[in-house]
Amino acid sequence: MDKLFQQRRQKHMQRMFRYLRLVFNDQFTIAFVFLIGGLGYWYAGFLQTLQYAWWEKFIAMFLMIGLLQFGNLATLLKPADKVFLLPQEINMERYLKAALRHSLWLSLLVQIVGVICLLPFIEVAFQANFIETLWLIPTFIVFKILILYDQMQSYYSHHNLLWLRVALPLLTFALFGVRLDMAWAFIFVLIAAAARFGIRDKFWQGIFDWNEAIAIENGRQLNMLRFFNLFTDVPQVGGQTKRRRWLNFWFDRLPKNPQHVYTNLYWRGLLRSSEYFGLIVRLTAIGALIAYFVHNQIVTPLILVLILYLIGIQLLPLYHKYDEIVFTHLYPVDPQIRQNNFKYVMTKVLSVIGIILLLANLVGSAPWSTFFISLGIIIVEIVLFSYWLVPKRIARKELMK
Amino acid sequence: MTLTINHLVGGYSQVPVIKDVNFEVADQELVALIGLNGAGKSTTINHIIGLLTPQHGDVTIDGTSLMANPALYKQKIAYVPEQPVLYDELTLKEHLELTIMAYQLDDAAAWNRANKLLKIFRLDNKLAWFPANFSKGMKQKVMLVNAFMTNADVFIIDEPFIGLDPLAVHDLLGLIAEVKARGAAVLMSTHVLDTAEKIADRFVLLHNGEVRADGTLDYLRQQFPEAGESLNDIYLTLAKEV
Repeated sequence: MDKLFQQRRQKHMQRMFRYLRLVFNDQFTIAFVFLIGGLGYWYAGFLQTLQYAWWEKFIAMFLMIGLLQFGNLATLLKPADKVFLLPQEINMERYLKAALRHSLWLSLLVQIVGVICLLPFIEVAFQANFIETLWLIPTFIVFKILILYDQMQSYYSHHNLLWLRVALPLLTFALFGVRLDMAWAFIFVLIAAAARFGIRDKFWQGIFDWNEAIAIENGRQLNMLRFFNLFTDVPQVGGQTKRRRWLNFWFDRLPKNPQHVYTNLYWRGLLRSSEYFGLIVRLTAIGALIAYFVHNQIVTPLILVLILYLIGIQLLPLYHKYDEIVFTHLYPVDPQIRQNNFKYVMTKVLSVIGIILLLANLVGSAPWSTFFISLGIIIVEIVLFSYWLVPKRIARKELMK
Repeated sequence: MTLTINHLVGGYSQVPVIKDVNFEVADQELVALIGLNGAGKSTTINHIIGLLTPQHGDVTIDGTSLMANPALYKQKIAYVPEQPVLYDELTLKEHLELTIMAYQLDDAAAWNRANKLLKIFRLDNKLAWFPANFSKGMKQKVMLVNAFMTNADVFIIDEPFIGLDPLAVHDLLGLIAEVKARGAAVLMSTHVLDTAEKIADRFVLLHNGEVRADGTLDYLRQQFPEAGESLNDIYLTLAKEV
């Protein structure tokens, strides 16, 4: 079983690195550097102006609990396992422990980096000194180990995970708020951990719940692929369809004539598939946040243009999404109409996103100069994108066929 | 309206799957395309609906060929695929709307026909549903409604009988009779030979990418007198022979 996990782990890592390489292509690396730079710049500025207020404690606690939820047990189980590994059920404990060790290093890395980023804020929010806050690092490590261990055993015992995930950390952080020395809060956590491991045998009883373990692992992988799918094409992520009734007003308004057959199809494909809709929402939200906080005359327009470009590039595969459906070829519609409809939809979508970004800029009270430079650049970009890049990309893809 | 397949050679790569296929489907006629798996039925159909480009020969409807005038040609064709294919993001109603737009149908008349068809196939209360989540039989019915609501002159139906419930098969046969009566040509590929024997006017037997026989059941019996009475027997003899 150990060997099986090692094999799976190797395959999994290869796949992840392949995706990472795809994600960190040239355009994205540039955008990413800007993004991190912009965020870091803003965070540094924010910390300097930050004043103590009583409610900051609660925000800090909320952030800390949130941080603890990152990183899950990666069991790498597959749906067929419940048939093929069933006779090995006795040895699943060993398999799971290998999985736990594998999951730990990345989860802990995320926790440590996360805590270090949060530390300056916590210092202010809790009015603590630096040494006191340092105790948070071992606390987070112990918590994360406990949480992952707990998750592993829950496949046997079905006990409630929220105690360790939320309740105990909340109590600890609240204690930290009352008595600033985190050292003793840490000791409290250690005692809890010892107690938890002390009664562990009770948890191993029961039958391994294949269905649940596989469903959870599937969900975890899907989330991860969905994340990669933000930046590159992931074949496994089909996404679901949601009706989104509240968008009916929009669908009803679409022109219903033969010149706009594909306008109708593309709008619905765009807004009803979780894949494209989620992508638009997430990237627009990130962009709007940056537009709200960063007001530099050069940096802001650049970031907005990059965000818009990233969204546009991700939406391009929509053009070919329906190629597999014979009716797309069967309809007596001139192929040029399909392309025109797509350009029309793209122009509108990008314009709406552009308007949202600009509004965020205004609400964040950016200077007018920044606003107008962004506005001009975005208009030029949308026109270039829809009427120059889109036809070029489509022609290239058709040529490759 | 006559569908003519004229010295058609073609396939998915340079190696032809179908070799010099010739047959016709005249108006008011139902022709059954019969053949083993891999005989070239689907390839022939893909050529007719224009998914593949012929290496030689051509396919015409009343003289309009796909290559010369694709829009006009496609206007005349309605296709029911063997595996139902649907748009994930469209409801049943929106699928029908899309068809109306694409075929430039008259809205009121098309909906009139569609509503009748929806009633026949008991889909009339599912207009707001996403058919991508339907069972296979129900998806097939959506495909049928979609095809039969058009004014097409040529209907291409790929294996309609497997997956449909008996009542739906019965209703489908009624619909085929109806469009035949108004002058349409119907080409249907199927493995369900006893049904085909009862309803088809003519049979095209395809084997290894070639037409082995083409004619009415009586004609086939004359051609293969020792093979037996039923289409099934004739076809089995034929397929083993080669």
